[in-house]
Formats: sequence, C-alpha cells, structure tokens
Amino acid sequence: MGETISKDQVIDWLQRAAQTLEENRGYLVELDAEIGDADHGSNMDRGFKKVVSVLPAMADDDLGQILKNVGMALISSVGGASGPLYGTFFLRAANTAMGKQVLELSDLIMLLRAGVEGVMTLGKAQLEDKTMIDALLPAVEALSNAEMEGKPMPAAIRSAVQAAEEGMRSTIAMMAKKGRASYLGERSIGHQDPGATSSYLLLRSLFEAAAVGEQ
Amino acid sequence: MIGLVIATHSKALAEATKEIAELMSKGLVPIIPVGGTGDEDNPFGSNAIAIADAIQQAYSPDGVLLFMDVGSSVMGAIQALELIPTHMQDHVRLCSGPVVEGAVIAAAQAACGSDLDQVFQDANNALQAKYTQLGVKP
Repeated sequence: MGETISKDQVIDWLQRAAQTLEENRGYLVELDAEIGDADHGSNMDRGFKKVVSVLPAMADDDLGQILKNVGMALISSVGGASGPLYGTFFLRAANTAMGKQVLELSDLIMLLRAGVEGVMTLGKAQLEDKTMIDALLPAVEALSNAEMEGKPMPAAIRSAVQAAEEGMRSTIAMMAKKGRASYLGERSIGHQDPGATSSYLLLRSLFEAAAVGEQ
Repeated sequence: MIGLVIATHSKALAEATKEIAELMSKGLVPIIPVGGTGDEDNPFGSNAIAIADAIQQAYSPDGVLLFMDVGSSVMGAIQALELIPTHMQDHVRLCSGPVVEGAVIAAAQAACGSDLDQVFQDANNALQAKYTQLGVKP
C-alpha cells in the first residue's frame, strides 16, 4: 500500500463495494427485517450495481467527477432512505476531490469527513442514534488521529476500519432514534443497525482496494 | 398558478391522490405525481432525481408545494430541492401536512388563486377540519 490512493484504487474500491454488498445482500435484508422494512440489502445491492454499470464511462474523469456520478447513481436507483443518505455522502465527498487524480491521507480524511457531515445534516442524526453515523464518524476520527500520530496510510485506514467495526457493533445496544426503527422504541435494542453495517462494509472495501499489491 | 407535487412510496398512491385533489381544482392546477422506484421487484420507495424532475414540471414563478409521505420520501424531497436550479429553490415549499388532506386543500386554494404562503399554511394545517369534526384535541 502506497502513501496515496490512486484513481484506479478508487474504482477498484467501488467494484469491491458492489461485490461485497451483493454477497451481504441477504445479511443486510435480515438485519433490516428485524428493525426496519427489510429492503436495505436489496436497495444497496441495486444501487451499487448501478454504480458499477456507470463506471466504464468515467475512465477519463477526475476523482471529484467520479464520486459525483456515484452519488447521482445511488440517488436515482436505491429507493430507500439510504439513497439520499449515501448519495449525499458521495456528493459531499466529491466536492473535496474536484480536479484530483490521487488522494493523500489528508485528502481522504477531508473527503470522508465532508461525506459524513453531509449525512448528519440531511438525516439530522448524531452519534448513538443507531445509524450509519455510528460506523462512519468513529472511522473518520480514527483516520484523523492516525494522521496526527504520523501513521502511514495502510495503518491509518486499518485503524479506521477497526473503529467502524466497533461502532457498528456498538449499535446493537442502542435504541434507534431515526428512521423506521425508531417506531419500535425499546424493541430496537439488541439488533445491529443495517445502515451502520453497510457503512462498515464500504470502509472495509476501501481498505482492501488500498491494500492491493502490497503483500 | 401554483403547482403541486405528490411524492409517495407508491406510484399508485401518488396518482390516486392527484385524481382526488383534481376533483377540487378541475384541471386548473398542475399536479405532478411521483412515486415508487421504477423497479418491479422492489416497487416501493423514492427517487430524489424523479422528485426534482416533477418539481420542474410543476414549476412556475408562483411556486410549487411539495407533499411527501413517510421515511425516504422526506429525505428524497429535501435532497430534490438541492437538485433543481437555484432560481427555483426559493419558490418551492416542502409541506409537513398529510398527503391526501393537504393536497385536496392545496388544490382547492391554488385553484382560487391564493398565493404560495397561504396555500402552504393551509396545507400544513390540513388536519384541523378533521380534528374539529371528530372532536379530537391533538
């Protein structure tokens, strides 16, 4: 893993994400069936299949334009609340990457932070509301801390994925405050949030793409 | 003339709401229904880009009132507002009123030539008449 993430690695990330979401479609549906309307797995799978279908047309685009197209593809195809939320994540992230062909660690932090803040604003969600924020925000904080500690890119992304996984697990004990799960009140406790789970899977795919060729 | 957009999880629900509202507006008010994902396997959902298109179809400088049902329709509506041209954004109101009651009142008021602020206010308070009729104090 180098000290930057290339455009090819970003495209690889999106392809890996699509594959991971296809593999975990049933798992996400199952999680969502417990506290939601059982469509998160199929929505995310459909959304990222659409993303993959538009990737070939973007070979000459910069990272900002690629991420913007990803956001629009998700908004137009996902259907559930994760469409606007992940769509906003990628649109906000795109704004920080206009004109760029590679990402340094500081670029990646800025990009993910802008994405997460966009999601928080649109969803009016905070930490511990039992949402995707519980995986994403700790990941951005971990990445930022790793940068301050002078960690290299590989170790920094690994720590972000670990933080996302811990955040995802922490949603099990939470009571949902947003979305359909919040209609269940205390009955939502004891179930892992599907949105936090898909967010973790996306970050794990990013790590895999960034690590390619390093072994 | 003010335009209305009805954004629901179900295409059929949006279209039927338009039909009911048009009983009051008699074709004078543009009412654009938008609903569902367009995916036969998972038909229920929302699409912010489709909602943004509907706003532009309903648009005139008099303004557009946007109704939405539950869950992702609300976020889709908020996001749609970001996807339309900037000069239109100030003339679109996202209505918190109930979809059917709100659209019926809004269609009637818009057909009478009320302005956007008035129609918005009446549609937001669309349950008042029902509260009175049923003797419910919310």
